[in-house]
Amino acid sequence: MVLGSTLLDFVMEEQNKGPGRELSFVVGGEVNIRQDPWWWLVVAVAAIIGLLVILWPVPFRDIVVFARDGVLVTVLVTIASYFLMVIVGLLGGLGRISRNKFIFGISSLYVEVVRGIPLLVQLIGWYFVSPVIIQKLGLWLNLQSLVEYRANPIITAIVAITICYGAYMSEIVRSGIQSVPRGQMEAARSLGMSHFQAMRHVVLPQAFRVILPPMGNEFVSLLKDSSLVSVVAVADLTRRGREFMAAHFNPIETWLMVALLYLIMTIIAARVVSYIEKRSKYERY
Amino acid sequence: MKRLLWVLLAVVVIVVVVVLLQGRGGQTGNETGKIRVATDATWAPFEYIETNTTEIIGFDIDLFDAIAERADLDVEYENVPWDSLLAGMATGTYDAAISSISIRPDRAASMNFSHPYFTAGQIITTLKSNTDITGNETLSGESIGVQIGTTGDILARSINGTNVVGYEVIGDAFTALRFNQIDAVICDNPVAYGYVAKYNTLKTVGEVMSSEQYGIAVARGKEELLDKINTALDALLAEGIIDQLTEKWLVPP
Repeated sequence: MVLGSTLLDFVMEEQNKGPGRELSFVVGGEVNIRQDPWWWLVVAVAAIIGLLVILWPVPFRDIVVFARDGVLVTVLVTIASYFLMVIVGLLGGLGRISRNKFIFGISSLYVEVVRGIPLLVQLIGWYFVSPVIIQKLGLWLNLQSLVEYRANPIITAIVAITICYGAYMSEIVRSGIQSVPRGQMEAARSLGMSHFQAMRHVVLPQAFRVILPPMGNEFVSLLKDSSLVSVVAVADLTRRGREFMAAHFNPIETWLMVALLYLIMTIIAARVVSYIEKRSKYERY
Repeated sequence: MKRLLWVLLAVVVIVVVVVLLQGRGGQTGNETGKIRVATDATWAPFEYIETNTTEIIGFDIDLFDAIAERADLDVEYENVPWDSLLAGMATGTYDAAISSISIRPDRAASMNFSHPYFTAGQIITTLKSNTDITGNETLSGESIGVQIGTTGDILARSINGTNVVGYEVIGDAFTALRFNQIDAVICDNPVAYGYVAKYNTLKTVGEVMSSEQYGIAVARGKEELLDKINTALDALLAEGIIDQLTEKWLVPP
């Protein structure tokens, strides 16, 4: 009871601190310097990891040492596929609102088909199917380099995630653009801007603020879904966890540490996203 | 506020009920005396899924069925991934496991093993078109597919200069090899012979690199079950069951 009410008070207090109230004393960028209280969660998780590693070097320190290149692979796959999927999503989203029937048809087909297939299935498909197709293509074109084609697992995984998440992103971009009132485009056009200029300077900047929160969400869920790449021979954090467990038979310690490592990455990402959100919000007023 | 409390209360109640029900379910399972036997049914011909019937079959399954009949055990097979199988045996999630498990000191430190019932060893499989790989001294710089956590994985990592590519299941490693995504696969020799017999683009090269004995793993604290299994296994071994099963399931090299 007591715990419940204090938690609720805390949340309400946080909400009262929202942009509306702070504007009264904000002139420059002072608000941005204010500490985001949720950073304490990051500190707490980091402290737990540190304590575990220091107090029980076996097995926690061993897990961290064994999995550190896995963490790097997870971060690399996440960041690379995130940037690529934003580009794909932007193109797909623009395609989804295109008046050109062909472009609209292609992008809608892409979104509907890709969105309907689980990421894990897509990953396995890309890993096993794409080399065969490329080798067959090489035989057909008589290109020796293609016949001997060997897929790089990390690049294959990045491509698969980009294509899968690009479909979700397309819908986010589409809904963002459609949320900008039609009058904005019409006004820009009547001022003499071309369709492209109006899109670039008037509609997309406004749509961007709308899609920023879901984009941040996508980053965090992509970071978590990157664990699926472990099935296609990519040595990411999850794969390292499985390898460690297979060698030392200690599931509890292994997955506790793997979960904490994922958690610290996702909550840092969430903090960064909320920081960017705050920054972009203030430009509005 | 009040409503939130009610919702919280409802959630707590549901969780408690679910936990209690599950606990019950587990207990009744034990009362009927069924033993949970874990197996990683991706390791043909020892244990694999028959695609027509979706049942787990193989050398090990026949052997354990025979043991269960002798020792009057009611068996329930659980198909689990290899890494989870070893970890689950160490933590006592399963009562026993039969899955071509090589008896190793590090494994024996966290689970009990029956008497050995089969001897196997690691062997290299590569493409017939590959003339560079002739044995384990020619593996430097090559990428080698293994199933994670297997003795093949452990051996491949011990060879200097190799790029070990770990797969969830050994079949994925052989698929990758057939499409020239990796240079070789290291796994138990009966499994390799099975794949070589199935796909005529593959060959095994070099000598068998180790000698390992398969045992049935039994969870710690289940010594009674271990004794029953050992008694039945010894009798079956004396009757020559391994020769019959070898005849039935294994492909000669």
